Amino acid sequence: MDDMRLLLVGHPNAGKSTLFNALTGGHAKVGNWHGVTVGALEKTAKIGGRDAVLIDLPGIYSLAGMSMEEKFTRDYLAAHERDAVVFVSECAGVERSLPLFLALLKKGRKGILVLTKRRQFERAGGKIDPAALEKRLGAPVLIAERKGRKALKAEFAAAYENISAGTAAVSAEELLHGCYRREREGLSRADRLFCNGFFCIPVFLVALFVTFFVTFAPRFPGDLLKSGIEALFSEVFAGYAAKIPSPVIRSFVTDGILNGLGGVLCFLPQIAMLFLVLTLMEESGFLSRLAMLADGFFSRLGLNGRAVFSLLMGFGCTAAAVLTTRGLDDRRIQRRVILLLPYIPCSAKLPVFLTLAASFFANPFWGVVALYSLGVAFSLFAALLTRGKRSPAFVMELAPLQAPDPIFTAKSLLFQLKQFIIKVATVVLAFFLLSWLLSSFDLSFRFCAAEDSMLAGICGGLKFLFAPIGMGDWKIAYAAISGLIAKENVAGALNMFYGGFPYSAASAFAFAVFLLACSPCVSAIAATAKEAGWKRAILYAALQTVGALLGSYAVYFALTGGAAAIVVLSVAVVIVISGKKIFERIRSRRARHPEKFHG
Amino acid sequence: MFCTGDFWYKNRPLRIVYIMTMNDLRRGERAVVLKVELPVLLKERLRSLGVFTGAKLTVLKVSGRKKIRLIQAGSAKVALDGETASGIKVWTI
Repeated sequence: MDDMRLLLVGHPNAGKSTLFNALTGGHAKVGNWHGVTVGALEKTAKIGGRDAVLIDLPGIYSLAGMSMEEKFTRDYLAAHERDAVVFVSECAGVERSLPLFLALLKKGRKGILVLTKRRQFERAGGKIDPAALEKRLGAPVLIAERKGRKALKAEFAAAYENISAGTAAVSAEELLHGCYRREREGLSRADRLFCNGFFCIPVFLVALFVTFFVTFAPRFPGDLLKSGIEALFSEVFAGYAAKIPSPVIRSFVTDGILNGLGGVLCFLPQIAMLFLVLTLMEESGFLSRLAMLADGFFSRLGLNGRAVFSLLMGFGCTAAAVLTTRGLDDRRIQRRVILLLPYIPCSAKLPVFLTLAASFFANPFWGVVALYSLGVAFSLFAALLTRGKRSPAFVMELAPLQAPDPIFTAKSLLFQLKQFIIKVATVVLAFFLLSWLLSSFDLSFRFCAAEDSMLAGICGGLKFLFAPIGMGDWKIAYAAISGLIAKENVAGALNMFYGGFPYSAASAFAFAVFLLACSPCVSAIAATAKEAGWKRAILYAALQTVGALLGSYAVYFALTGGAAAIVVLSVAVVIVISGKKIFERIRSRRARHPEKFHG
Repeated sequence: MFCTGDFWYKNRPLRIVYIMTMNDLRRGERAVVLKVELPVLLKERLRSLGVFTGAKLTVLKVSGRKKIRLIQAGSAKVALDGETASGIKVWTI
């Protein structure tokens, strides 16, 4: 028997990735907004005793779509003409999506139609008869709603036996006549509320504020859980480690593993709370409405409301947020949003911000709020600087408003936390062990103090980088560079070398500003390279790092009352203005001679 | 609905017809799409969302600086900005 190859195709937010996860046990990212799936995800599953390869593709509205994701799906379909299609459609959207399914069947493909969100559709007054539709369509029609994996696989196996190219000659209207009734038109009461700017935007700001408060304020759940994990590492585990007789192994366990890992893992509860709120916003359909209402504001920056999705994703992970920019129709807008994303503080920067915030704010909650607000301000400033003459068109389908499913939300959150722990246990731990090795041994491999170690020799020349902000120590420069691998490394490195942050409040704030504005980690740079090319990715990283260094110097001099602040600020302003003029010149040259520029 | 005026010009009857765009519609008004005069790719995106010649639309909400219009096109709720809405010619029903 041949293996099954099934391509999951359909409109955005139809439920393709949810179906993919249900059949394969995979963890494709899902969310209640358009543009979640950004590439083909392939996984094998056993369906009806046969090996089936399922491929989850980004959503498309039509075969002539304009966004990068739609082009990707179209090209993938063209390259895999013999694979069967599992067309996933919401019951409410079947009228619009059926022509796309019929177009695929017309090309000779075999297909199965899977209808989702039936309960929501019927609650809104709609009606559909899948058996009648199957008879007219000539292809299997399944309802995928609240079924276990076994039942779903059994239905799929049976449907695959009857798979065919359908009766593609008929139109969607003829197919649906008599077996489909639309849901009620108009906005529900909840929708009217959430589509109102005077309600939705304040709710969003209050939700953010409350989240920050519960997560970061002292003696609140986030802080209490963090303190608990810190105590576990610093007292319980460190207590056991103190009994190790060998000084080398004791140092390896205490400095290399416990201090480094503990300095990152203790922030897990706070990261979980942030991810939970982002997931709830995604799942409920709130983000669509926020994007619609925020379009007016973003158009002043030369963007449109669809940038909201990517910018909010940036609070979770910059690399993932860069990939979501594929859903933006205009390549020029995509590049601008990618340029802004590193300024949005991701969850990986949270550990180091909390470590530094304690130096300049008695209550770290205000420190974190200040830094997050500063990051958003940098991002908006960068958007203003690179604004073009016209803002892009805004056309977006609103995702349905729904109560987030608690089981699904919990699964999604656990998966994201698992990814974080795996990253810490692999990349971050490997980095700490290497750092410990290089900082504990000299060139002759003798156990020594950090100042005489190999790392001091390698990084000694870098201490000038942060000397202007009162931190002329190679360890700080090394910690900052370690952020290129993963931003979590910075907090771990500071903890490993110093057990905290030993410099002044002004130095702490200046260093925080540097970390806020500098180049993102290599994952985000690689994601940028994938979307915009390596030249642009490296240029953005270099510009951001130089800008961040100058910005940190200016902040330090301003805080310490030095006249050098004026000089640095003036230099920074000259660079920014010259950069903008060069940027505008390149843009106008590009408009006059488009054939000379690629991509 | 066409806004019309009948005039006489050089002894000949002259009828001036004004075709509304989506920008002229207010909340609650229903219309049929007469023509979509927008770039090809944007037109194609609107078509896939249910906004094409002959489609019936209802304006659900108008808000914001760019006059974002939330419309019901079939089963889809679509948000579009004022500039895009001005490229969609309609007549009210």
